[in-house]
Amino acid sequence: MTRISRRNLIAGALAGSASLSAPMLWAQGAAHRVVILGGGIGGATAAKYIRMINPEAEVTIIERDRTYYTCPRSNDVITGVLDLDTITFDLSSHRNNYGVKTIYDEVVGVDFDAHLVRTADGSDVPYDRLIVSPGVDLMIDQVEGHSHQAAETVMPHGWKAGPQTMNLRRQFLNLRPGGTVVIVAPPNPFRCPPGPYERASMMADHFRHHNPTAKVIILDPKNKFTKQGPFTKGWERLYGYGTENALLEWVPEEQGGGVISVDPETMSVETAAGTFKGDLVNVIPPMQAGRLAKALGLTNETNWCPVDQATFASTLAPDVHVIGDSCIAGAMPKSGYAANSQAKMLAHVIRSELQGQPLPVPSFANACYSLVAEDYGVSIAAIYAVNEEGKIVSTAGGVSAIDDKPNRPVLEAVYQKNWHRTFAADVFS
Amino acid sequence: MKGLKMTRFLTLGTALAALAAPALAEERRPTGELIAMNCGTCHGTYGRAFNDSMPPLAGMNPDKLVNAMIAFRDDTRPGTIMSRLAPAFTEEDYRAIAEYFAAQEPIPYPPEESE
Amino acid sequence: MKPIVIALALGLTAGAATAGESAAEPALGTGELARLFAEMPPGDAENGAALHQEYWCSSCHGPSGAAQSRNYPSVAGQVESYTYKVLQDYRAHRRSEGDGRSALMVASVQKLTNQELADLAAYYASQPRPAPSGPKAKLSEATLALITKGDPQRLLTPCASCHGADGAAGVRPETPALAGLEAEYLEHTLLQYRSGARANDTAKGMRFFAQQLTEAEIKELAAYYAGLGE
Repeated sequence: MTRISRRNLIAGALAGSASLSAPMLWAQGAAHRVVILGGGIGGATAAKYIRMINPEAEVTIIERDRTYYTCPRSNDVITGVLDLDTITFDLSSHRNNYGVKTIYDEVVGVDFDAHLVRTADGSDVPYDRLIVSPGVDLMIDQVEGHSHQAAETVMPHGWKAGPQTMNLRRQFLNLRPGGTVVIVAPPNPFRCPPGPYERASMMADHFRHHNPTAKVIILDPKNKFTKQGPFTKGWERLYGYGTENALLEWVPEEQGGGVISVDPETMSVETAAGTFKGDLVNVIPPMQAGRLAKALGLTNETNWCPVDQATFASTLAPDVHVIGDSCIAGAMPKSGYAANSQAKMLAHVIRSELQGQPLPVPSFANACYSLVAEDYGVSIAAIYAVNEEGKIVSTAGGVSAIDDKPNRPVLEAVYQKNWHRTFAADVFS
Repeated sequence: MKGLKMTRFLTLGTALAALAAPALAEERRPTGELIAMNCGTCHGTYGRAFNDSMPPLAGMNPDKLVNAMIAFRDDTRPGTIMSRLAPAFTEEDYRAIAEYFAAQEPIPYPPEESE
Repeated sequence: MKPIVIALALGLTAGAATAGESAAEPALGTGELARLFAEMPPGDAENGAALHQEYWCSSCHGPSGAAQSRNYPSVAGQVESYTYKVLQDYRAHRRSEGDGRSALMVASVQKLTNQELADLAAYYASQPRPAPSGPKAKLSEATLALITKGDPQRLLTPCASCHGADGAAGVRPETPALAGLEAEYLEHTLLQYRSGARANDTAKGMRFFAQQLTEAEIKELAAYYAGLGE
């Protein structure tokens, strides 16, 4: 990604600080131009739904890549139970069915005052409303000893699906008998909270069938993780977790799991609990808001984007909304489902403003299935609303119950596949 | 019944759910349309997905949908995800969601190709 | 003469390798089918009722087996031996039309024993049959003839000879009752037999039938059976 010119951005950021107190109404008679930076799950959902319920809005997506690979189910691709095709999508339906314009280019700056997006080829794209949905930035440099080169080769992250997924898959499926996989889990907050644990689970499932002396070790800077109860129970049932010959181990921070440094030369990871060597080392780095958001001045000191949680309007720039992983969304996790839900809300906010109606009462959802094994699923689900303090809170939800009903995890594994199919169609079809 | 039934909490150690509900209960509710759009993520855009796990909701008889949500909320119908989501909404919400979906064009049965 | 015997005698094979051909395990042969029923344990409907909840059957098929939505048919009041046979077919991947269509049923019954399948079958058989799911259908003369007389030209015996005069099933243990089932489900089923995607019918009995029918006839028959029942 090209470096954003600081000149433009500083100018833009300062100029834009004036009128932030009230949502700006669409100028009478002006074209309702919505420009969306990022054509991933958040951006693509926003484009489609805005067009669906606001046919008078002109929507343009500016995106660097022509192909999108969903992180959901990428763990299945890594472990060889799914092909890449099933997680491969593009914006052709957006163009053909919803009249969304697509510009495949990089963004080099935004003039918040003049309401213009400057792309790398020198064009200026005008907007009335800007939506920024750039995902996450993986802070490889924050991992001592790690490098961008190593992240593309021997210590991939697999946290942006596509070539990274296939790299991991190749290395994983070629693991020697009795080999070791080391997964370095990231600190909070990060994209896809259950991801590292599902990945380890699917690897252990593969070992169970194909490489029973291999093992996967998760090194964690945290002491707990999402769906921990159901995951742990599944690991006990399936992988001998907690016993001598367990296929899977989890080293939390309090047992020294926090990583001090990595060494791509020797494929080793140094922690307080000692040095771990892996035949495959999957380093999932700490994360921040997508680089574009930061470069545009949309992040605060936490390096995530503060927004009005009822409208996702940025608190740092006028007429800008930030959705998806990059934004601070109260109790909502950083998941594809959440980005999709926020995008839908945004379509309603825009419609209310276009029609001069009061802003809609927010409602959001998140549901997430994780595979503990190919035929064993667990899930989390919640509904969200905005409380009196303007913060997104959960009003109901929970994780899979842990009980002895044999069909519960069986059904949830089937639901995972079906959910992905419907979800992807909701975003990209 | 007005107000949110707080029978379930996120089991992530957050007590946010307990604090949240009262502030919202007496205020305006989200529209059936907005809630239903979030249902679409699993049940298909406009409730028009056809797979064995998540039934299509487009064109569903509204009483059936309301009764299903009540059954999931009260745990008289075993669910997985639905049992955890249904308690977030009031019965008026269920009716609003049901009326929205009832008005959607049902999806035809999928053609006979292998997936 | 039974159509299956005719088909075999004349070397007619329905469902040659086509795009819709199922990847499932082959259907039970005639002898295996007979053995399945001979070995079917007596079912305990009370235990079946408990299993119906415990294994999430009620979640999709309704509190007492009457359809809740378009993708799960009614199972209430179904012929006990038929239900047993079709659950066995799911468990053994003989009825397996592909991901997104029957994967849920295949997964749901993996952990159930033969006794438990029989218990479920007994429970469903004990439930009242569904009310008609559609209006009483007006049949064309030609299609009515298919039901009551069959069509010798196409080697089709009457539907009623297996499925009963009122669609409430007939002499053979592997034949389901059709009365009151949803029209689009019945139509969909016949189309699946027609394409070979559904292939759990012994000796391709239903596949042969469905291949001889036109799409218009399939639609009419489906609407007719949906409208039957009290």
